[in-house]
Amino acid sequence: MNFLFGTFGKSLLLAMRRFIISLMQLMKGSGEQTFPSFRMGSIWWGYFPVFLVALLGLTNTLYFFRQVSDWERQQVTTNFNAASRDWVLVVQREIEFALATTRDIASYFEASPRVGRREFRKFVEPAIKRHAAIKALQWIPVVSREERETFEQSSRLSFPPYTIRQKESSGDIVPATNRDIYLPVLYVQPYLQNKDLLGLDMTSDRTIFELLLRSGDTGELQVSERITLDGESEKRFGFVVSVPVYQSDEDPPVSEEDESAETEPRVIRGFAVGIYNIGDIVELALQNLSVGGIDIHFSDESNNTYLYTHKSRLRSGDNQDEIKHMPSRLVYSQTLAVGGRQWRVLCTPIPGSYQPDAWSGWFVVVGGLSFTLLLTTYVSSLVGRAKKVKQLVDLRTAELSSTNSALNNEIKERKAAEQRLTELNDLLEYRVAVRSTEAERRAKDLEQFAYVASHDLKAPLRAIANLADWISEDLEEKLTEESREQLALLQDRVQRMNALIEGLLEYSRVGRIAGGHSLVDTRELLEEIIDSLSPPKGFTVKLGNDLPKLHTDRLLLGQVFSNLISNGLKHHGGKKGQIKVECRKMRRFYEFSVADNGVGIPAEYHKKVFMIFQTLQAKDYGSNTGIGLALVKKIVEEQGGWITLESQPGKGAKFRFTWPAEPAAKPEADDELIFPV
Amino acid sequence: MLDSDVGIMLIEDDRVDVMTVQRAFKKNRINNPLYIARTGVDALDMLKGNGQEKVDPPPGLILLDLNLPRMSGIEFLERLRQDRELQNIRIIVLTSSNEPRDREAAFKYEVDDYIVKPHSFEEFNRVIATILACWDD
Repeated sequence: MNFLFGTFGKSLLLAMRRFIISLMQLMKGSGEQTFPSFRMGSIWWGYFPVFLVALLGLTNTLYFFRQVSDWERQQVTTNFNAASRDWVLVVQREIEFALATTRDIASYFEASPRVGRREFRKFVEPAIKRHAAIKALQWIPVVSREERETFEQSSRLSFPPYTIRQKESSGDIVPATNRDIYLPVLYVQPYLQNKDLLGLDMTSDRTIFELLLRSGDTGELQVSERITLDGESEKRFGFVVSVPVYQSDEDPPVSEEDESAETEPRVIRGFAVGIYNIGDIVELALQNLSVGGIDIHFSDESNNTYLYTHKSRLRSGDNQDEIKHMPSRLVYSQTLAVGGRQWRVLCTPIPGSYQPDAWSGWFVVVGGLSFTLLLTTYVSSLVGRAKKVKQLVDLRTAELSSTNSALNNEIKERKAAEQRLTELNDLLEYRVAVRSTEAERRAKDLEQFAYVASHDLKAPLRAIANLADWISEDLEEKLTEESREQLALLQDRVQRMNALIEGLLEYSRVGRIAGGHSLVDTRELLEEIIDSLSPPKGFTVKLGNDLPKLHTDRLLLGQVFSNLISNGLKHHGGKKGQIKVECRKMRRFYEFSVADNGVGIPAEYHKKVFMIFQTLQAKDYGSNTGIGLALVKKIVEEQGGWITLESQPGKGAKFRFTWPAEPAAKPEADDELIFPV
Repeated sequence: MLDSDVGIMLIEDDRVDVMTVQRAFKKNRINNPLYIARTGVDALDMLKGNGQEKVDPPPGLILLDLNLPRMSGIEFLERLRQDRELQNIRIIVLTSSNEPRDREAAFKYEVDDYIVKPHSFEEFNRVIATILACWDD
């Protein structure tokens, strides 16, 4: 699990480092890019808040991670220390309790001057039963050389083979050699496991002897350095406890003893000694406690020796060496004063327990990082959106300005086009003006021509006529018949010339002289015309019933009727004849017809009759100028109509022409429509 | 009837037309002095005595042709009507033009009559007779 955490944390740290490096590279890159263009710099500057947020988030996350980890560790340490202290306390108490047994023996001996083997056994048996850690409880009296015999004697009363013995360096146990003081084990319980000890002079056992001396010197309970217990594989270390017992005042010691006691304020009677298994004490102490993941190491600080290690019951199958060398973050250390020795108690947690809960730290990291990520994303999205909006605005602005410029261009183009149009218009108007001026000039020329014709052509003609008159008048008697006839012919040709000129003038005047429009009663008009033409005898003009009243140019319509009727009269060919004038209303015009019952006109001449100066008869005949029908055609067509001729030789001729029911729209109005200004 | 001593001025450039008028006068036995001017300029000179003998007293009637060289009949009319001395002379236009334009122009200067020259002398004769016969006052 730790391993997993480690890799996870490592990879996370690596990722963060990479992120920060890339961030720094970005910043650096932005710095470099700032110089070539301000726009690039501003873009990176826009992301500054994002970097700031990310950095703050990371820093905070790391800080809180640290804090939480520290707190967690501290918490664990506190818990561990508390638990360790409790455990150590329990162990200490157990030790005290164990030691108290020896102290009790001392007190017992102090209280009773004589304690027999049986009493001793009775006294210590419950304690031994109660306390498994007690390996042996002994009574070691102080025996001087002089007392040896007596002591051995009296001891053999309760235990026959009792002698004071000593342990040789070879390991053999032999009767003790002579010396001043003996410290033989008099009583020992439980007897079966410790019968070798009985009678053994403790002066020969260096460790115990030192202990006994020390306790005798201090007068206090003393604990020995560690001793190795036999027959035990695991919990093999033990210690010896010694409590000195003094001679009571009520029971003064023997005189020999007094001598030795004289040097000291109180005479030592003996030592209550207990041998304990450390491991058993510890295990006994902890057996009723709840399972905890703590290993407890005991060592004797006084001579730096290992005493015992309590392996946590959570642990299984591990061996001691492994435990000893397991490095641990958490160590609780305490010294215990045990019978004049300093024991060092070290508590270490077993792996897996009292482990700071890494999850919470990593939760903080993960939470903080994800929060940072979210916030960074949010901020960057905000920035991005702002940027996007700005870009969009820029884009739209650019589009708008381009549209604007396009519009401006179009406006310019339109204006240019308008300008061109105006110019063209002006040109057109100018041309129209030129043309109309020209047309006017031509019309004027024509008028001038007509005027000249009417005046200058007619004047000499008139002079010729007058002169011819006067000649015939003055030479009346002198002229021959032939000359007179020739003069008459001359007069006739002059008349004809005059008629031609008049007709020509009239023809040219059509359209040049626009008459006013008025309400014209065609019946009335026709009656007037017929009256002025005064048809010869035998000719009648019959008028139809549907002759309309219409708004038109009276003069022009009159000219048409007059010419057609007079044409009918002139070219009828008979002595008697009838001319019929009728009218038919069409949709927008009237169709008039003028029909005679005369000789008619062959089909091949139907077109020719309308041409100017074309007559179908010899020039000598009458005053026919060949202008009349041409004039009629011209007038009708100028009114937007048409004229047709239906005729067959011998069957009369019928002229039909149309005439507008309403006057044509004024040309000025058209002008306005064409050139709006 | 026109007093026989009242002068009549004819302004006419065509010799035949002058002859026509003279002949017609003769035929109708009109003996009033007849002054003949060939152009409007001549006529004005005569009436004002510029460079030639002045017609004095001024004529009671002027027969005016419109189509004249150098100064048209209408121009002559304009000049005449502006002259205090001569502005009241009666004028009869005698012309070959039947143009409405000329007719209007002439009547603008308050001519007493406008006669289109007849084509035949007989007619002309009749016209002259009628004019002079109808002349009262």
